[in-house]
Amino acid sequence: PAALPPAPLGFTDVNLNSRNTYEVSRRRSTPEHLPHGGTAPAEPAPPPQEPAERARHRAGIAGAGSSFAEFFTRNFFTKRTKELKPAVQSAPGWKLFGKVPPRENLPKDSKIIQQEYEARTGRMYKPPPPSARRKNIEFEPLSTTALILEDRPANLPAKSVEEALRHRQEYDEMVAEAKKREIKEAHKRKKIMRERFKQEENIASAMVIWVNEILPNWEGMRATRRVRELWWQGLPPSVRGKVWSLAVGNELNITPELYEIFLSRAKERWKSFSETNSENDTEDAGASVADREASLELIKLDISRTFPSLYIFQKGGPYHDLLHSVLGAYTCYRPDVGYVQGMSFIAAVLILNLEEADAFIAFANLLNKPCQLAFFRVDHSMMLKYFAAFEVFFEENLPKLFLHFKSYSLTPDIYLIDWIFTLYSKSLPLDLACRVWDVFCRDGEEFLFRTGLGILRLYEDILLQMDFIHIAQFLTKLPEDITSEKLFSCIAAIQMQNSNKKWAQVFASLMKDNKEGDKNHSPAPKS
Amino acid sequence: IPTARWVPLAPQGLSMDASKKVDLKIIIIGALGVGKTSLLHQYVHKTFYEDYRTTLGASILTKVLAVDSSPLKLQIWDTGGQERFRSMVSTFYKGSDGCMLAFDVTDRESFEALDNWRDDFLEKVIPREQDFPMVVLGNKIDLSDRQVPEATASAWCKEKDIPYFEVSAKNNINVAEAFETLAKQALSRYKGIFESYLTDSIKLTPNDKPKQSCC
Repeated sequence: PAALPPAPLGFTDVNLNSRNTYEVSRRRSTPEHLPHGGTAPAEPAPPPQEPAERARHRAGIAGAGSSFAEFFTRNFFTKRTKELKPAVQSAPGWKLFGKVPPRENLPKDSKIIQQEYEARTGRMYKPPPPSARRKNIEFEPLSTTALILEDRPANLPAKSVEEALRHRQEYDEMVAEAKKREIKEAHKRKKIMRERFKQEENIASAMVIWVNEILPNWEGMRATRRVRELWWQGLPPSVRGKVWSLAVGNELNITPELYEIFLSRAKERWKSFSETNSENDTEDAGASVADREASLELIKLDISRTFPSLYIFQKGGPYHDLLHSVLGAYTCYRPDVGYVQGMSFIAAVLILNLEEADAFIAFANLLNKPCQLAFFRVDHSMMLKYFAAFEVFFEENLPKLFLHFKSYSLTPDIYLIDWIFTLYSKSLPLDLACRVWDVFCRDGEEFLFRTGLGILRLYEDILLQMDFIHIAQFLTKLPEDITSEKLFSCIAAIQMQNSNKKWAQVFASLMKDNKEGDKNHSPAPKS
Repeated sequence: IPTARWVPLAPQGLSMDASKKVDLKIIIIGALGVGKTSLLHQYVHKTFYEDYRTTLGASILTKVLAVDSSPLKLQIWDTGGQERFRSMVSTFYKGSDGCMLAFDVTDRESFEALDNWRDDFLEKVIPREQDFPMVVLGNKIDLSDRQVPEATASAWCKEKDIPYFEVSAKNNINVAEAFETLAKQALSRYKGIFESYLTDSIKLTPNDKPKQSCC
């Protein structure tokens, strides 16, 4: 505990971060995650090892969604502090806040951490060698130190010479065995640390590049190969919101002031709503359905069902009002669209990464994209076009699975509706969903469908074994242990080319087919 | 035996072997927030949570039960309830064997919406028939601020000859009864179709020209 860093360090760290991410990660960490490595006093480790070690802890956080941002920024900060305050840097500052990794992604790692912790405490509190006889042993397995009584207690008869000798021999064997094991584990640990360290370095250097090079020259660089590649790797959480905003753009020319106007309009409506307790709005009577759906109650109900496990958007949670505001303002801004289920998830993800007005601007512009507009207006015939285009690439990329699904008449709407409406934020772990959003911002709607194919590819082998009902159940509730490495390598393997036609061309030709009438061409792909 | 080419009534996945376990598809529809997902989870998992996530599109649960000592596997489709999703949700009606209409007794509008949901279902379900197996569930009777009197709901159902159940997903009141009633109705309809299918195909087979059985 004495080794913990002074609080100001930690708090400066937090300032570097978006307020939002900090809150979230704080909320997400639960006491059961606190401990292990976290409480272990810092030991004098060689400098390169210490950051690597922290990297390992941090990488554990990666599974915790938005806290990724937190730990990353922290890392960057630590790196800079290191030069300034070398004395402080060895301390595990992040532990102060209890933002310690839920380790569900790294089941093996938690074991290692536990062992390490035990080992450390053992070393820390190891009593001085009790007898001169053992001083010549330079290695002692820590776990056994306290357990082995060399001599019998005084009230018992002493060991015979042979017995003592045998015990000694057995002990030596145990020591040798344990040593071997510990060396092996140390190697393994080191390797993991090196990888984590490298990962951390990558993110840190990526952030420097984003902040110093790309963002200042956004228009000139956004389409370059180098930026696109870096983008694919995932946006550093600290610039994520900014890049999303830039990439989504602001075609609608919404200003923060405009947001305030619509927000106050929404507030008025809610006020009159709760006063009269009726939904006959005085102003916009007429569009009754949209009105009803834009009603306070409906948004309220849905907010309580948005990321319920995070406990931040629900009533009394820190972001409840914020989410309410963004959605309410939107329904006033776009009464033609209104509030549609699924929107709350999109707004929530934006709120986690952007300030309120920016989140609204990104939200409105995002929903104004053709694909999102088609879905949120529930333009069924357009949606079917998207599904048909998806099936073209499905058949192209995963012909076996495609036929398997066909044999059960399993149509993509069963799983795609949920995926596309919420941009995967409901169906994938939050951190992974954010990575999908990253590339969605880069590549547009096509990437949403490519991600869908990536998911199918990832689980192709299991899906091929399943029948209709199990496939439908599986795809509408994906496994929670899905990792970004695996998913993104599967997405990368999906080719968005169909006999030299790209997504946009395939989609356009499906639209054309529709206009010509369904006489000759069927929009559905034929095998 | 000629292959079954003429399949006018057979719902999707209809098993042609009477002794085998029967799979029935049940769909639950109704306005947003009436507790469709909760009802389903109470029935299938015997649990109730306050915090279900919004249902978009459809999600499916299964439950095996015995009706008159024959095993029956229910495939229950949960759907999103927002008004404007109706056209989207209706694609999932296809092949249903039974329909569960749900409303919230503390929300008058959800009751008034029943007409629309029912009409929409009967209009779009394949195959179409007017006496389709259906039950109505008035949920949330555990709450005090009731807006729909039992008599009102009963009258509506009686007029349309649909069994009505006052239920609470939260307190597990009447939930299983409602599902089982629907399952029985759906099963007897299914058996009827199955029998008529057999007789029809036997009758029709001799006249049937040996066309290609596959397209």
